[in-house]
Amino acid sequence: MVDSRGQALSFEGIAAGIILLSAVGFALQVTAVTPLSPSTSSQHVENQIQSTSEGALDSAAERGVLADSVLYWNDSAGAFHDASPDVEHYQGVPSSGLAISDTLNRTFADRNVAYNLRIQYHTDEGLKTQQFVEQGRPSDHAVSASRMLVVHESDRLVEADGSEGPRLGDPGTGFFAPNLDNESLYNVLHVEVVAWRI
Amino acid sequence: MAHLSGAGERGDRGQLLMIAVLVLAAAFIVLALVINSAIFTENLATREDVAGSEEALEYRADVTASIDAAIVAGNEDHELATDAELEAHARNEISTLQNRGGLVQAIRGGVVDLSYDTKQMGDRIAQDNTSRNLTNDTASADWRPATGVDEIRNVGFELTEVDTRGEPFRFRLEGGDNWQLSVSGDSSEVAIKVDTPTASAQCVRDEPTAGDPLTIDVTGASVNGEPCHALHRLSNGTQMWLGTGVSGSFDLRFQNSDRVNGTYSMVTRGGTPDTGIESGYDSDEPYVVNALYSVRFDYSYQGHAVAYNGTVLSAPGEVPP
Repeated sequence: MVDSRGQALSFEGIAAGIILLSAVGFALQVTAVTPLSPSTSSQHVENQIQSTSEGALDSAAERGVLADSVLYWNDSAGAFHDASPDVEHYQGVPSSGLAISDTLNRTFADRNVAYNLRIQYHTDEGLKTQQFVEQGRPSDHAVSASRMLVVHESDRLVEADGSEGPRLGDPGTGFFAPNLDNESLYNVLHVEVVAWRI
Repeated sequence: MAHLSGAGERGDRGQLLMIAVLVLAAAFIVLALVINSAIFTENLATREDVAGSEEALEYRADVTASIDAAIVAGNEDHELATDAELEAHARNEISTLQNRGGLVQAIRGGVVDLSYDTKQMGDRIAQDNTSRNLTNDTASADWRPATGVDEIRNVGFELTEVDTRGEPFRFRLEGGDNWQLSVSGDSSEVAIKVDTPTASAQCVRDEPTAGDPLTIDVTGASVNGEPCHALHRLSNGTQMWLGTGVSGSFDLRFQNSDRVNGTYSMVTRGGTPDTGIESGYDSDEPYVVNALYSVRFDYSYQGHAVAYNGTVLSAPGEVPP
């Protein structure tokens, strides 16, 4: 009598242990990685940076700041105004005269997000890329957002002080992208932001 | 005795332990389910309405913005004078976007097709001379740039000088009920005041100085690049934007236009322009030229998960109805 109850108790104990452990294990499995878990590789954070990048580009384009920034080109030096020496583009934090730098700094700098900006343009040989702002090599979980921008021959380059420069369509005006063989359209640019958390 | 009865008690406690363990296990499972469903709900709630639709809609917005810019550039191009030339310009831009933009979109995994559909023609009434006042060719200070207008968009003023003495400059839409913009001020500040049939509000800015004009984007609801609530919507939701409360066709009217200097531009559909302004581009005096009012184009996008088809209307600087 006493023997058989002892056996039953042991079985009960083992079964209870298994249930308890599997319940704890299951609960841990479910909650260990949520979309909100703090981790640089978290998809949720990537989505957020992606949306933020798109928002920043859209807002800049809507206010005309994106076009002004892309046209912030020194046609005699063949580089962006106040660009880093030896390269045509900005390394690190872009010049404060660049219209979009304020938008980007307010969007990214306070949140420990680094970004690169590049511009793809069309040539007769196909697509080419002009570096714009370079802050480093993107990490594995970098995200990108891009926006198309059409520039016309009637658009003007922006001088270093923000005033209007020469017309793009005028002969002798130098710009990184060539004039496509078309009436008033100059080129179709694709501005791309690559952002990642640091 | 106590030891013997203790054996019996220990047996009862085993059963109790068993029940407690089962209850705990069940509680854990329920908790896990609750957490899981919360995560799943959040996940569902933050998903797109239709998976993959974002790319199609985003690119549609990109294309629309580009066509908008093309229409503005075409209307401001003095070499494009006739309806046929303007239409050819719009067709050309759409086909370039189709080829050039489509290439980049194809690299990203979407196939885009754009084609020109229809257009609506209108007039662009403007003045490009920054130092002239806003009177018409016959120097009338109270005049109507156009009468019987059906629609108006992309209205902007760039005032280099505002005379704040006396009656202010007014830009009015008159059609039974009137909408009015007036620019008045004191020695240092300028008030941009808007009156609709039911409400009025104003934005105050610094007076324009040499090299720093007062830029009023009436349809974009901004003054000197900063948002102006009086041109858009008040904090209680009252609509204020261009033409609020004016129904049917209307007349455009400038009053006291000799009090301000600067340039302006607006695109109208329907109506008759004032006979006192130049027909065809003029760099000195106000003029009226043919313009594209709006362009409709077909847009289709085939992505990996979604096929989107639609007709898009591009009319840059149009206020909500």
